[in-house]
Amino acid sequence: MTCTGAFPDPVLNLTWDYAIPGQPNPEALAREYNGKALADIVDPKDATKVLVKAGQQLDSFAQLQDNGSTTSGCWIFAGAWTEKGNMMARRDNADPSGLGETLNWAFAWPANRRILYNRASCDPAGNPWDPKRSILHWNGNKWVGFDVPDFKPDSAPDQGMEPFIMQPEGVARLFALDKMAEGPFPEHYEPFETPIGTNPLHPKVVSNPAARVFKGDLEQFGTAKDFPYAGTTYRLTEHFHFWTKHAVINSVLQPQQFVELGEELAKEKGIANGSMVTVRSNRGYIKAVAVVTKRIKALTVNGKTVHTVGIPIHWGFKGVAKNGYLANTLTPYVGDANSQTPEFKSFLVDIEKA
Amino acid sequence: MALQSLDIQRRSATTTPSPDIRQTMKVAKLIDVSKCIGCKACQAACIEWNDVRDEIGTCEGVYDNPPNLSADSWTVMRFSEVELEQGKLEWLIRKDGCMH
Repeated sequence: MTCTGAFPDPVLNLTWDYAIPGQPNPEALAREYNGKALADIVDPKDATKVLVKAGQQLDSFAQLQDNGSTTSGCWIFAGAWTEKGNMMARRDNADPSGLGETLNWAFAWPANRRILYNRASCDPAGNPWDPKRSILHWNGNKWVGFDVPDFKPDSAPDQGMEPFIMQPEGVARLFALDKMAEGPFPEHYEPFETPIGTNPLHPKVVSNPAARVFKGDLEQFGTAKDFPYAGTTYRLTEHFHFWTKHAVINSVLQPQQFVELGEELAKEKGIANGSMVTVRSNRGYIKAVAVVTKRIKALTVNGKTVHTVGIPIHWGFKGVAKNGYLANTLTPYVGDANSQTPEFKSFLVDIEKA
Repeated sequence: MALQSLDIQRRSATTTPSPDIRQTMKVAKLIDVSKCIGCKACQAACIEWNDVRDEIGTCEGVYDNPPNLSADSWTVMRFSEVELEQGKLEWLIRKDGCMH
């Protein structure tokens, strides 16, 4: 294979030693992401003692080296497929603690540990807070018990190491410190398209000031004057996302696009159960069958009656299910302040007989 | 028709013996209606196990689909919204089957 790029080496020299290069099998991939030793790995305390021989699978991430003598797809998976075989395929449900600590059932990352920060189950002296539900304790030399310690295994209690080892303070947090874009404490903001048009807690700041909205999208927001109903999208248990409109069985179980509305709103708008309706937002419209249900009730919010229109996603212009409209024609482009998740669960629509 | 549905033990008008090696799997179903959320996974399993495929129908304003038991639908879920008194809604979901 040749390449004329500036630096093709990382691609051309990629390790790709699968039996069928075009179809790596899951077992080969699992062995690979567990990781193996490329050279003998010796005990750091005793160089004459070989822990893992060259070519062998690693037992845990503790054996990973920073000098290129080990490989691993991701450190947390080290231990999933060792020299003993596929740890994920283990099915011994023995639970000696009686607390659900089935360490020989499959594999949990990292290190087959079942409860994170489990040092916190003990008091500062290393004794379980609840002796009847002990999963870990300090035996005088090390931490032992029914789970893999999430702690430096030989750090004595009097050394004062705190249990939340991944936090700089070593203790749990009651609020998010500097991690959330809109501040440390929980707060209520209205969606950008709000059926009540204000925020009852603080009318001057209605929606999240740290959320991401592009100018062109901002101009596409509607108001409750034109779109008085709260729209929300969701999935149905019969389906998987938008994919299963191409699968026959899922389409048999829930074949045709529908929207759900409460009996009160249906009566107000003269919409009969099973009839076609048009649902509009300021961005577009969809047509679907109306399912009139007792499960959706009108809410009273800030003294105002708010009706909800439920809009399952799934259908589209192609598939074995009945063709339908894309539910996300209706939804607004807002990215939340931290993960940029779109605000597709709360927006404004109008509904009428088609 | 899938083999699982045809447990042939004796046949007439042939000297060829019926297969007697095959042991059909005995299956029992436990249906705990207090846990049922109406996901229709049992309906999908029934369709796959018995290798039947009903038509892709239409929505008639209810979750029930296909609407009835038929030669190609041996399990269907039936949904009823019952509000005996104001504010006490019960969404009753019943698994209807062919009794095979």
